[in-house]
Amino acid sequence: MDDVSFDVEEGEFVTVVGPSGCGKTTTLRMIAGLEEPTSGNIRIDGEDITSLPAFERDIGVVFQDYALFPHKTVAENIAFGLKMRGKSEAEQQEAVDEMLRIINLEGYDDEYPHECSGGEQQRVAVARALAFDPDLVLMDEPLSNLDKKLRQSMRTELKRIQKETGVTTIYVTHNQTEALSMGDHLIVMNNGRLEQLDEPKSAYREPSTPFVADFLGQSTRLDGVFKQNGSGPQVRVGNVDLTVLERPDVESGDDVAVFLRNELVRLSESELEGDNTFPGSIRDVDYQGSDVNFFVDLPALGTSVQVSAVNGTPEAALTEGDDVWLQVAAKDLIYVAS
Amino acid sequence: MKGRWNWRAVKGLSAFVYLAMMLPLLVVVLNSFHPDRIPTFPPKSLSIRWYEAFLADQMLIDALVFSTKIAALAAIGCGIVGTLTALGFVRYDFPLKKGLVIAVLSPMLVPPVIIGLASTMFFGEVGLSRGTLWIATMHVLIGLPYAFLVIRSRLYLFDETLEEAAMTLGASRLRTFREITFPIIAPSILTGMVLAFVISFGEFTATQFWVVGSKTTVPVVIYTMLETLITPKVNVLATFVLVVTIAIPAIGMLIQRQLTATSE
Amino acid sequence: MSTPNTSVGAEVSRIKNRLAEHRYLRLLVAPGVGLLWVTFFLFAPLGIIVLFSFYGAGEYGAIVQEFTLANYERFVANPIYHTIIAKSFGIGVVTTLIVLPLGYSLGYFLARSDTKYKPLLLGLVVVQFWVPIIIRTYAWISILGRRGVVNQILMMGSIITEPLQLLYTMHGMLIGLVVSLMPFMILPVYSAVSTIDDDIIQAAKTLGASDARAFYEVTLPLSWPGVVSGILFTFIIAAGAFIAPQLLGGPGERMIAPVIADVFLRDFNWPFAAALSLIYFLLIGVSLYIFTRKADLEEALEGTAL
Repeated sequence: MDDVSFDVEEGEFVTVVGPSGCGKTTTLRMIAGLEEPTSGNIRIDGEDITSLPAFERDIGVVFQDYALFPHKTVAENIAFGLKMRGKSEAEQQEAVDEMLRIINLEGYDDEYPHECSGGEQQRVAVARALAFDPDLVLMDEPLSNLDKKLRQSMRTELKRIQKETGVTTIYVTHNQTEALSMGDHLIVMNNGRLEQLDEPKSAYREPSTPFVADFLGQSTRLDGVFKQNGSGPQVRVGNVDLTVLERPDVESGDDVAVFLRNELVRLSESELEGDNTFPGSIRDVDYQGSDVNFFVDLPALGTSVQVSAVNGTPEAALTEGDDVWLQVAAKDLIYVAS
Repeated sequence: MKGRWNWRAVKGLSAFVYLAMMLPLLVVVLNSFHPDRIPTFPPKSLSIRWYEAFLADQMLIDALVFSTKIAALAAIGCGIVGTLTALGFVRYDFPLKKGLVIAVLSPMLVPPVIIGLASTMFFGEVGLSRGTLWIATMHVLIGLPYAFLVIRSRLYLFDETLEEAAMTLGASRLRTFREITFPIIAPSILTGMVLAFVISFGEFTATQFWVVGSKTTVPVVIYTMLETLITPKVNVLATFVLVVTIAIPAIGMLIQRQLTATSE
Repeated sequence: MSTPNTSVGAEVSRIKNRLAEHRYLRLLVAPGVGLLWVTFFLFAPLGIIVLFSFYGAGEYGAIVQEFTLANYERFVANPIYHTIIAKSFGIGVVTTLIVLPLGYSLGYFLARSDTKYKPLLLGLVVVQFWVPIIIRTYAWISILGRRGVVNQILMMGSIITEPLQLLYTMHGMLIGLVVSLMPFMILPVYSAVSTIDDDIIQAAKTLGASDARAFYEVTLPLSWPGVVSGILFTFIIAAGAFIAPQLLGGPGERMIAPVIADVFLRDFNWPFAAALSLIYFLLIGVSLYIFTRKADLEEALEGTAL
């Protein structure tokens, strides 16, 4: 871990995303109290909890493999947090009933975890972490063990549950779709460092580091140099000058990485007009169902660029070998200092 | 799978070994019903006179009771010490770990004669006198490696995130052990305890150094009876022991199977 | 199951929980308890033996607490003790050599067979472990005696006219030792062989290995840890055996364990018994050291924990 600092507002849903080994799980575990940070501190509501052992923090955790107690019923699992805090049987039952209602598993009180399906277990794990009304809930890739359809429906479920309970949530995932769709704010991490903290839209549209630009969305990266002269802001890549919009943090002569987002590159069989137009031919086609990814060789740039076309558009019918034109508007060209 | 003849040889040899292992047990049981003082083979008739003699022999009954008491104490001791030791080795890292594991297992390597002798000298110096505490303590030592190994292998399979989950829910370490860890590994602890029980019950070579007066164990009594003159009551005693040392672990295993079914 | 919240009870809990957070205290208990137990009740006594072996033996079992080498001198000067120790190691080796093929066969059979009686057969072996070794040994008195099972059967079958002297001989003792130590070879071998994936053996055959070759090149090496474990236990227990020599052996089969016990319990010569124990134990230690050169001691010791 290098240097990770951030603040989270109460009631917020924050996602932390990054590749495996980037330190997102470690960060989570440190907040939960399962690991010790070598330096720095953790504060909740202004109170420093860094030296508190896990069981004295008021933080709920949903583990990747749920970690439901196999020898306890669903109700006992959910009530566990309250039981540890000395709540009465009546209070425990009330909380269990409420949670089962929220997660739509009413009547499951006496079932055992191994009798429940994956999705059901997942919801019980969430309920257990929320039942004792914690200050904060941490979720460590809770949906990664579910199949695609279930994952999508659970995504909506989790958001709904979080809205209903209003509890502050930090959600860790390596899946960028989840990260973009679920959070009020998004944190991108890489190699133990925090790369960017922003609203999902902003992070996607205006990545602040090459890593973030590359990690979110699908794009082709080109490296070049920014220059500002009589012809306006440009980035020189190889032998070509790309027209871009000015950025306050980049000066003439800086090395930059340019990212061409698949969906922002225009593709056509006929010649296109506008900034940054290039002829090329399709080298490879990657059929993905709802859209098609093309790998187009651009002799001018000396490399190939990824472009996507949505199913149903005429461009989606193009095949290998076809000659095409690509165009990227200056406003759609993402570049960051590298 | 080996070729047909090879496999037949293996089966044949195995059958022979089985026979050799079962024979002593069968003979003991058979002889306990033999009417004569000195059992011959085959018995001409069966009789329970020695059973009656046995039940009337207070010393033998006392030995049976005492052995059971010691074995129970050893089982409990091994359960506690074995669990704590296994936990330590599985969860924590410390220097010389590999060597220390062998240290815990060393009672298996030291010849029982030497264990009996050395501890007698030691306790003599320390000032402890022979009795229940002495024997039970030493039987815990002897059974510890076995209980330790059984419990440790279960702990290796134990999912530690369950404990982490419990702690995030507010359970302290001790509470977590009580509510989560212990119930789940309990079947293996039971197995370890049962192992310790039968090992203690059957221990002779070291125990012969430790018995005093009426505080004597079944194996020592058996040996004494054999050394002096073989009265057939020995066979009755042995048959009882056979039943106990076969039945208790068998029941223990059944219970363990039941417990494991619900907690997994 | 939550404790009633009296302020004293809650305070005690809090203290206990805080203590449990301290790493060194935790280590003291787990694994501390076990280690302390072994140190105090095994290692310390062994240390005392060293001490006692240098004491002198007084009259009627008294101990003269002065440093002397008399016990060791006695050992060196009396070749009979050398013979006894050599014999014990010899018996250890012979027993192991007999148990090895027989026990391996059974372990192999159990691991590779598919019969539905497997749990029962396995149980019959495990049961041997539970029955006290003294019972499994003394039973042979009835079987090998002049009017025992073996002789009766042989006489009834007219194979012999005079009963054979099997009891109180080397053969009798060996039979008792071998049979009672069988499970120590069977179970580790069973354990090791059953972890061998059948596919591996099949693969060897598809690559051209005959049954014998496949066994030699694949099964045997892979089951070696089990064999090693069996050898370790069989040798150590056989060499240090007490019951079999006493009950089944004759005066020609003096082994070290009964001799040590005699010196201690009958002669009350604690110092000399200590010296003998120490010498024998050191020799066992040397054997173990040689053993660790060739195999993993910890792994071998775990072999019997099924």
